[in-house]
Amino acid sequence: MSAQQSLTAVDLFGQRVAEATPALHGQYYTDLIPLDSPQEGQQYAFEVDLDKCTGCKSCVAACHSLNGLDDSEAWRKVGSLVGGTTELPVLQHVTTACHHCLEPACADGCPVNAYEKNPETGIVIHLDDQCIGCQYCLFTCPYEVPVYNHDKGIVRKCDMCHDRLQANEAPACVQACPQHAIRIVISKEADTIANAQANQFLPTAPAPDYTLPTTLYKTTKPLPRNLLASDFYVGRPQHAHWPLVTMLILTQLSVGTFVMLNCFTWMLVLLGASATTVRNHNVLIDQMGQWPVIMTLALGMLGLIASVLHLGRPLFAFRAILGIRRSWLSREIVAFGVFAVLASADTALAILTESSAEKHHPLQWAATLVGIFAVVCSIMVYVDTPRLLWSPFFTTSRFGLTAILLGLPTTLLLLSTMAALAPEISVSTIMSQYSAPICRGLIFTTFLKLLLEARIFIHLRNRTLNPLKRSAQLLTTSLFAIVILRFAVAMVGGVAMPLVLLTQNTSTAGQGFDPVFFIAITLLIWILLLVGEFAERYLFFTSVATPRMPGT
Amino acid sequence: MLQRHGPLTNLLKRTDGNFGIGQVPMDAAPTSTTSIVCGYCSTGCSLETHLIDGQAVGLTPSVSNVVNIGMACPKGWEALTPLAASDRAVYPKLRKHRGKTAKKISWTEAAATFCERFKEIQKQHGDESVAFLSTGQIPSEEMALLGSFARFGMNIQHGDGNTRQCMATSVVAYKESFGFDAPPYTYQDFEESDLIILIGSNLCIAHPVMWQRIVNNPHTPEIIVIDPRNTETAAAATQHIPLKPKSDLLLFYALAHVLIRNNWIDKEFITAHTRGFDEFAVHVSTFSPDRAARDTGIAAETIEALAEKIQRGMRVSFWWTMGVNQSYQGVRTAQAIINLALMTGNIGKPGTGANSITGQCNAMGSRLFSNTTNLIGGHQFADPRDRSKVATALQVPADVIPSTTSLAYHEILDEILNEKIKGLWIIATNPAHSWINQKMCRDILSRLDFLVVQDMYDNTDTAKLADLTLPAAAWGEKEGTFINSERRVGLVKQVSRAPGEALSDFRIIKLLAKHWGCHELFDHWETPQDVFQCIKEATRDQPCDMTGIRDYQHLEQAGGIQWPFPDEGPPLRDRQRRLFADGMFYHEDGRARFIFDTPQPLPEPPSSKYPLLLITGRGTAAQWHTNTRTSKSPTLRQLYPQNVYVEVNSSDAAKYKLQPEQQIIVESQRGKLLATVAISHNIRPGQVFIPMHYVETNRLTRAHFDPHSKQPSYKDCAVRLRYPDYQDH
Repeated sequence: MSAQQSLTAVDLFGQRVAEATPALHGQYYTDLIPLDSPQEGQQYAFEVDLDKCTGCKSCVAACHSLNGLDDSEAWRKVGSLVGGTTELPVLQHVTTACHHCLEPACADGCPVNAYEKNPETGIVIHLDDQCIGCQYCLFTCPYEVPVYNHDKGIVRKCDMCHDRLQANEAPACVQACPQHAIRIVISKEADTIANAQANQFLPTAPAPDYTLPTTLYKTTKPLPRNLLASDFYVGRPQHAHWPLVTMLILTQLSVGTFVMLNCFTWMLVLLGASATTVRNHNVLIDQMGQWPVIMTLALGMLGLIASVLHLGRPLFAFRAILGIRRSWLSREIVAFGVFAVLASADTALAILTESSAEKHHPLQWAATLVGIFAVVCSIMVYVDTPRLLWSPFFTTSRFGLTAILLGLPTTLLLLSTMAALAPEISVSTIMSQYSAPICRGLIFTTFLKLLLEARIFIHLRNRTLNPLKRSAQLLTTSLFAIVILRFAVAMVGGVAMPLVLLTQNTSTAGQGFDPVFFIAITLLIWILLLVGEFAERYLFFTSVATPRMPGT
Repeated sequence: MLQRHGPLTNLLKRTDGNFGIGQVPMDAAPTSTTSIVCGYCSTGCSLETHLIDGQAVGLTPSVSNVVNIGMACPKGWEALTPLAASDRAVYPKLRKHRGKTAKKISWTEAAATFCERFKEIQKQHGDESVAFLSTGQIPSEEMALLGSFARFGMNIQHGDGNTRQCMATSVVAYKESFGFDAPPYTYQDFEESDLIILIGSNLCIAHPVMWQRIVNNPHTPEIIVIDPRNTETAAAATQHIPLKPKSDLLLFYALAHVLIRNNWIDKEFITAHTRGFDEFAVHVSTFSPDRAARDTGIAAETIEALAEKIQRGMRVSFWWTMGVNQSYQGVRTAQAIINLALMTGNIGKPGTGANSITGQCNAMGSRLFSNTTNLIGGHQFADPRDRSKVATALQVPADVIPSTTSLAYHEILDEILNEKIKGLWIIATNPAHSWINQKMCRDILSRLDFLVVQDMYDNTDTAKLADLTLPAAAWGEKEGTFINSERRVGLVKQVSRAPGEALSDFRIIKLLAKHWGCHELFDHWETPQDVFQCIKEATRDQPCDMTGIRDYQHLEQAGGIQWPFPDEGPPLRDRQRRLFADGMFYHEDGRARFIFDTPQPLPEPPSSKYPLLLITGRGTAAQWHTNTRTSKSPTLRQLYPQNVYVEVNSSDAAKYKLQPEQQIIVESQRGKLLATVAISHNIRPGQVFIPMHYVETNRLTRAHFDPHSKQPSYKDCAVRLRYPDYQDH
């Protein structure tokens, strides 16, 4: 057994190649890397000869192995396109890696400037130590290039083996291709732009006009029009991103409630309350002090803390300020930070000066506006990705209506709870003054939101399997249970329960409520709507169809 | 605020690895390197392993090697990963009761149990009641020791290997046609042909490194792929001939018909070097292209045109793989290909030949040295002269060598069913996944009184059925030699430590021999190299003579040596050598034979009940056979679909109302499986394709065999598709 453990291969057979020998593979790949460096207006690019790629996938294994990547990490993928007819079938394999785009979306979205496009080589390099692991680049890159590494808490990606190129060695994939299908060329920026304008990139791949990918796919074969990626019909739910779901829901709840509490008078008018109600309201609010606002902010803070959990390296979250000039994610983080500070300061000031909540001083205005702007940033974070589902209207209607749909019951719950706790206010006052307008608002908003959400199912009738139809299909198959849950709790919490309160209200004409019953129902509404919105946001992330290069 | 450097950046830093390997990851910069022949397929690529203090930490394909010239397929790149799998077998385990978990035991206990149980069975039911099934995956030295211990020491009568599933057909075809199992080519022929005809061979993913040689061919050759499926190779070829499954024999007879009719034959060569041509000419005279067109689905004009291309070609080479070998009439099909090469004189010259591309890394070593159906070195058990020659070479007493040969794989299984065989020893193969008609195979294995499985993992489908498992060191954890497709003997070295108590098959067998009480037979074999010297001697004066190979150092220096290489022959000059340049074949009269037969119809043609024909085969370049090793690499796992899928033609998909990605039951008379539907034009209407790497696949296949080679015919059984119902889940 001990003999089995001794390793003697080199002792027995000696060392064949002298130690300091330059790369022997050089003889096979000298033609595959450029002799010169890129000039002004040029950069390094991958060139793939599709006629030679036969799908052996050696490039993937070599990339993994020669770059010391973690298990199942590789910067190259091989997919295939199929089509043609039974008489003339077409099977075309496609090897793909980072396209080192002229306008890399990964870099544009990065909140910490962890991506750099090297001005000389054009290689898009990821600064691993700068990355905070927010994974936003996974949303913005249309080619699924950046890969999140859970163990390391950061994203990593292809660097075109730039140090190999510097040493006149070919990148791992280039030197490993038995068919010499991959090479490094110097491409002209003008050509890349011209190709993107003419939509010349690769059949079935995401359109090149978004990021201007530099990879050049060559073929001499005519490719048929019915060419599809082998995984064209594969649709799998995407990652749910629970910390982001939590963050979005709670910050929207918080901003919604904050705005409502501060602009309640207008809200009441808007919701058809009587002049007496409005007058009484101001008295009430004065009596209640700042507690509702504090609770609201606490929930918002909880959401922000949850969002930090989404980061692979939360300790470095402060770096997010760096990308403010181009990244909506940066802006979102900063805006929520400023909102939290302003709103807290406003509340603190109010407590210290014991001023009325409805006295609008500049700080409060600023907090309100920044809060709304922060939600707008949240919307833009998703709108600014190449995912068709997250259109401006789609995302705005969801995020905005969530703020209202959760702001209304939270306000009601906070007011009634405060009333129950404070001896000088009676719960029935709250019930008689706010319940009816808020319940009417809830029923309307719920119907509106569900209607807008259900619009996606129209796309089931699409003839083409576009991203929206893919989403609709996912929602009716693997995500169907959650969809049912989402609609059921919204109908109960946003329509049935408010109706109960409304009937109580009219039947008893504001007299003889059981406060406990009222608070219980309000709490139930709040919980159901919160669950409903969590489900909605879970579906927002999981049902999205992502653009991708051909797979399997 | 911008951190360009740091610990995370350093993780991916590369440095010059020296030794000519180029840049490697910082922590994998070797202190030395050594080359080793890959342990997957029979291409025999040389891999330069990167060692730190003798332990392999990485590898790159060897550059100066004549086989793979600096390239490897994904399996080769990832060859070290399966060694480090967390579920390696690390100690012997005994299962006291079937269905219960196996318990750890010591090697002494394991060896004692092995001998006790098998001796008990032999005492009760006769010596022939214990058999073994081995492999094409272990070095020749271990193969020879295994065969010698089993047949000379244990008096086992029957043993066979999994090479029966891949190579048997070519072996028999060559033996009958050429007089010896002798693939005539060298890989250089890929680069020297102007017409390359690939039959049932998906080179692009089964042997990507060989496809590279075709791509390197400077003569812009015409590449014709004869295959029912539009495989990766068919797609990359200049012409694809999508014939009906198993109709290739007819196609080749029709081609011969046209060649003879048009007098496009090499009469001089035929007269000087062959026998049986006239009978063959009479035989094929009835196989007109029109007749063939009906049965092959290939238009008569296409067949005529193909014959003309063969006539026009200066150097025509024919290559076949499992599409021919795994067939109920595979031997005659292979011989029909050989006949085409013979009659057109396309043999013995650069860029020509009727060439079988074999399967496993040591398929040929297994054929020559496993001591099962052939006596070591390609000899006959029945011949007393052969027995005494081999006894002298191996330095064992002549009387220990039996005069009877062994049953073939399926016959051994039949004998288990007949209760004649009660004990079975399986080495480095996985019949519970790979054998045809799996349900029956598993049932047969369950009937054994004692089943021993010796493997690097004890969780293979077969090991799960075993009473005793013996943990084996893997490729890279031991030394020995492999022989590749082009007859090249190459070295395997120990570059990694075996986990736990795992031992090399060599050491396991030595231990077992000691406990059996027959160790004195093999005491002179202290190391694999001692065995090599003896089996090398056994090849003296055989066509596969390799007596000129001095020792392992010689192989190392030469970078592998092709047989024949007799010690009195000229010194090794050319690193690419082919056979039959002189037109002399291995039959006693020096002539090759034209062998032919009447084509047989499909034994289980599609019917109204089972309307589709199932073809099985390789899925991707990242999967190897039963996926035992390749599934251990996370990188390789990314490269193939994790669940079994069935490829269906779009017209059949419309007919059976199938949607892409839908789950469907594929069912034959023997079993069923649940697969994901993949719709394409790459499979013809009326046919479906399922890769063999998924354990479910062989539930469907029909156990039928080539009568000459006894090789299973995996690629032709009738199935049907239906929607799953509640009972299927």
